Amino acid sequence: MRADPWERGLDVRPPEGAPEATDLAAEPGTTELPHLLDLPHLPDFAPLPDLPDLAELSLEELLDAPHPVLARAARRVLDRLAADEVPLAAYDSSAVPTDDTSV
Amino acid sequence: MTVPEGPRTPLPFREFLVKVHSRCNLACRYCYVYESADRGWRAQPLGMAPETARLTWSRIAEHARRHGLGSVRVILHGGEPLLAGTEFLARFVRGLRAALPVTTRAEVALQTNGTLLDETVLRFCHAEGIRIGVSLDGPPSVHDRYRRDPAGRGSHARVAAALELLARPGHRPLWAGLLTTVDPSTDPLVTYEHLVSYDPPALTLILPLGNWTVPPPGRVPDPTRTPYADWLVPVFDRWYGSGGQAPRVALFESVIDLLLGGDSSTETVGGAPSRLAVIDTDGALTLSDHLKTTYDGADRTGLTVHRAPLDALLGHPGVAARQAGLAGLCSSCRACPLVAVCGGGHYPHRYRAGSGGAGHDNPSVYCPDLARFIGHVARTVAADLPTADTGPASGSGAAGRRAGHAR
Repeated sequence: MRADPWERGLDVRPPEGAPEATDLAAEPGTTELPHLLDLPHLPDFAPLPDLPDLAELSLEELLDAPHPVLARAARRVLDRLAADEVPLAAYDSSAVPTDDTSV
Repeated sequence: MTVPEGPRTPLPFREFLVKVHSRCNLACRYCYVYESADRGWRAQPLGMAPETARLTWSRIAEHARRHGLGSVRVILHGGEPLLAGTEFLARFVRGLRAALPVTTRAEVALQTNGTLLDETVLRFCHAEGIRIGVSLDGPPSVHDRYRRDPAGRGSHARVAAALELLARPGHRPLWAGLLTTVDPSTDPLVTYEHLVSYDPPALTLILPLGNWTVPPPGRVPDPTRTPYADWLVPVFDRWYGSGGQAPRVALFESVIDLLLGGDSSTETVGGAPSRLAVIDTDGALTLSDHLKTTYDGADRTGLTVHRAPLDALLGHPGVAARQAGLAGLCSSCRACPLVAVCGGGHYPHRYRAGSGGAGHDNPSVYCPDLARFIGHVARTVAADLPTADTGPASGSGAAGRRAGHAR
C-alpha cells in the first residue's frame, strides 16, 4: 500500500528558500519507462558472454599493471585475501566502502 | 569459477543496520520502505525509545563479545536517521562504544537524504566519529523526479548545499560517499558527471529493488534488452578511463575483483554470505529491509532485542538463505559460468510470488543486465593485459583463490 506523502512526513517543514514545486515530469530527458505489473512466466535468461578467465592471472604480477585501476584491484584482492577477518559484502543501501581504513 | 559453498554453522553478524527513526522528511516516490508491498512502517514508533536503544547496543556488544569480533559496522538508518536528533544519536553511539569489548573496533556511519545536514550536525559527527553517506541521484532533473518532500518539492537544492558543506576540507574526512539509484531512462554520463562534480570519495550505484513479480522500471521480459547494463557500461568506461582518478565505485571494483578471483565488497554481486542484521525502531530483529519489496512482512522474524540475543536471529531460515552460497542458488544459476561473478545477483532481485515462483529460487530479474555488464568489464580488463593468457573461463581460478579464505 502506497503511503500518503504527509502520513510519513511528521511535522517537518522544508527550510526557507527551498525550491518551489515544479512539474518535473515535463522536463526533457525524464520520460517515464513502462512498469510491468507482472510477468506471465520466467523468460529465457541472458545470452552468456564469452568470458575471459582472469582468475588464473598472477595477482603479484598485476600489481605492476600499467592501468592503475587494475594495479589497485590486485592490491585490494591480495589485501582482502590476507585480512584477519573475512571482508564484508556490504549492505547496498549505504554509501560507506567496507575496506575504508580511515574511520 | 564457482561461488563458495555456504558455511555449515551460521556466521556471526558484523554489520548492523539500526533504524533509529521510522519516518522521513522526504516522500521519495520509489522508496522501498514506504512505497513497497510491506506496511510494517505504519506500526513502528516514530523514534527509538531509550530502553530499546540501550538494549540494541547491548545486544550488539553481547554478539561481538560472544563471537570475538574484531570489528563491527553500525549504520544509523531510517527513515531519515537525522530526524532522531543529535542528542539521541550521541547517546546511542557513546553507549555502543562503551559497551563493546575493547578488542572490537566500531565503524559507525549514517545514511542520510542530506536535507538536514548542517554545520551543527557535522560538528556532532566529528565529535562522535560518525561517517556520512548521502543519497543523490543526479542533477535536479533526475534527482527531483523521485526525491521530493511531502509537498512535492524537489530536494536537490538542499542536498547540493549540504554536499558543499561536506566537501570542505574540514568536513571531508567525514564523507563516506554518495548513494545513487540508477534510473535507466536518464543520460548515464550526464548523471555520472554531475555526481563526480561534488568530488565524492565513493559512489554506490544501486539497481532499483525490483523482482520478477514487480519488475524494476524498464526491465522487460525480453532478455535481449538490457537497459541497466546500457546505463552502466558507459559509466564504467568513463570511470575506468579516468586512470584511477575517479571516486571508488563498489559495484565496478567488485566485478573486477571477482573476475580476478577475489571477493566482493557489496552484497549485490559475488554471492558472499550476508553478515547483516537489522534492528527496527521498535527493537524488532529483522532480515534485510530490502525484503520489504517482496511481500508484506517479509523481513519480520518475530524476534526483538527486548527478548532475544542476536544469536537467535542467526538461527532464522532467512539468515541461512543469505549465507548458503552456491547451494542457495537456483539450478540455472548453479550451472551458469558467470555465477562466480554475479553470485546470482542481489537476493531481493530473485524473488517471484506464487507457488510456481519458488520465492527466491530464481535468477536475478537483472540477469540479462548483469551478464552483459560483467562481459563488458571482463573484456575491457582483458584488453589491458596484453601478455596474459586469458582464454575462456576454465572453472577453477576463483575457487582456488578463495579456498584459503573460507573463514
